[in-house]
Amino acid sequence: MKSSHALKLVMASILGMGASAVIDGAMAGTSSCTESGCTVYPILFPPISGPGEGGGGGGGGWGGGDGSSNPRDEYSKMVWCADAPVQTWDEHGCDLYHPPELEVNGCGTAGGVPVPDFLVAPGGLQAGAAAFGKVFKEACDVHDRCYGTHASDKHQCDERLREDMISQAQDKLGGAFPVFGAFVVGQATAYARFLQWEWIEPWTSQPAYDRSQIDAACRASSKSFKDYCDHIGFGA
Amino acid sequence: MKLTWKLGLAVSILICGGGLLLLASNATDHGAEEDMPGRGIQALNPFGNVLAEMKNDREREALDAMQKPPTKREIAVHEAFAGDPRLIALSIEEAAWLDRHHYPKAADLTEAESIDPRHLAGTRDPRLMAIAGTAFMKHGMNFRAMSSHLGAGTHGALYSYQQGAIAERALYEERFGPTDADTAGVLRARLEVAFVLGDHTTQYLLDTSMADVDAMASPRHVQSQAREFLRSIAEDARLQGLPPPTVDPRPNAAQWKDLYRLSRSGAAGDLVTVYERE
Repeated sequence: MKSSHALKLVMASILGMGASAVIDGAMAGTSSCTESGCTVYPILFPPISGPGEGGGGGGGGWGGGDGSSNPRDEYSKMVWCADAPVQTWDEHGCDLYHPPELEVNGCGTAGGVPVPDFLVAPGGLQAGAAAFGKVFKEACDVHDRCYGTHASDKHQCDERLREDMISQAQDKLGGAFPVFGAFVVGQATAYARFLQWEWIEPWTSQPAYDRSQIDAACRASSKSFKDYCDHIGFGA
Repeated sequence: MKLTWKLGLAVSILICGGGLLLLASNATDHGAEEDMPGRGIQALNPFGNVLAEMKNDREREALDAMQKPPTKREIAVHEAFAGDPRLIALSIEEAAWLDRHHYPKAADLTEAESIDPRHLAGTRDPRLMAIAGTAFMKHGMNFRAMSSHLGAGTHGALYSYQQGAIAERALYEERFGPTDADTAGVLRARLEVAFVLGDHTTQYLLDTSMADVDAMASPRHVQSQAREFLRSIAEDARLQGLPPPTVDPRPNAAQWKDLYRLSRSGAAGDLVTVYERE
């Protein structure tokens, strides 16, 4: 720990931080949780007890901001900031200093199976369809971004994918759309239905969405953590 | 013994003869230098003539590649930066580079103001795709603007690819709220692709409309995402039977650097020669 940080830590723990006011000010704008709570994927919370303090728990946490934080919790947070970036893993396995990055990579894979971002057509039409290139690439990129947005609605993301795929193909195919339109609509609908089909969703798109949401929550937590540490003068 | 004596004589004649020859050639050189006073300067830049010849050749080739020769005129630096400097050429060679990478002309952008972009659906001409993208953007259809512009990028249209990033930003802000670090990484990677493929004037966007994006982006994220975008462009080009876009540096990087400096300083009234494409 740096000596200047140690000094701040000591001062803060003596003063009890004026805690909740500072925390609320720093965190209010960064937490994505609403009044209804972080029901599906809450912002990840670091353990309340600081290093060397066993047990503990309850209240506080990054993104709490409920005004009920006690000075010992704030002390724990400050220890975290002061020790960063050496010890910045929260109890959910989120590396607060190096959160997973958002990856935008087209239609990608579903359970290891590549998903084409070009138009698929039967038999002899396939060569002509593929020659239009990656007609669904941008639609899938936006879908990736949607899954990777904290607290996004999965159903809405999947339905938007269908709309985007059709409108993108209309622009790219132009005069050829009457020929290939049925395949475009079929492929777009198949992707959207496949992602939401209740029989397979738990094994295909749901885990992908869950993973993206956990990553997004980690990024949100990381931002809260860094903002908080910057605010109290422990910025890395 | 006789043989050794003759051999010694032959060797000494050879050595002395060589020395005399060297002296003679030096004397000739000195004489020549007195005749040509510029030769000393040329010695400092021995390839000056060759470089000038190469430049002339390149300009001749550039002119041949263009349908119409560009018009030369002088404008103030602040005028250049009042519009979009990415569309300005500082030499004939650069004007040909802009043509080669399907940069829109002033007339194209004026046209984009008034057309219905849906009429351009299905076009495979990157210049028309850029016009369609601009028109979609004007109509607030951000997804379609992004798709058209990034699609043109597959054909090597670097301006379009950068405009695609601007449309993508508008789309993300419309759907997912204000630009955050996640979006910033993706957008910065898009600009990095244009930069890597040769357009150094991407810096203009990083200085202006994308300045906050640049500040928020994480280098690691940008690197991995830019690599993915480059891979994807190449794959898309192959599917369409096009040559994948390759690195083709835009000429006049050093001059542009000076211009940026001038535009930021108080000397933005200085004149600069530009070449406008017809």
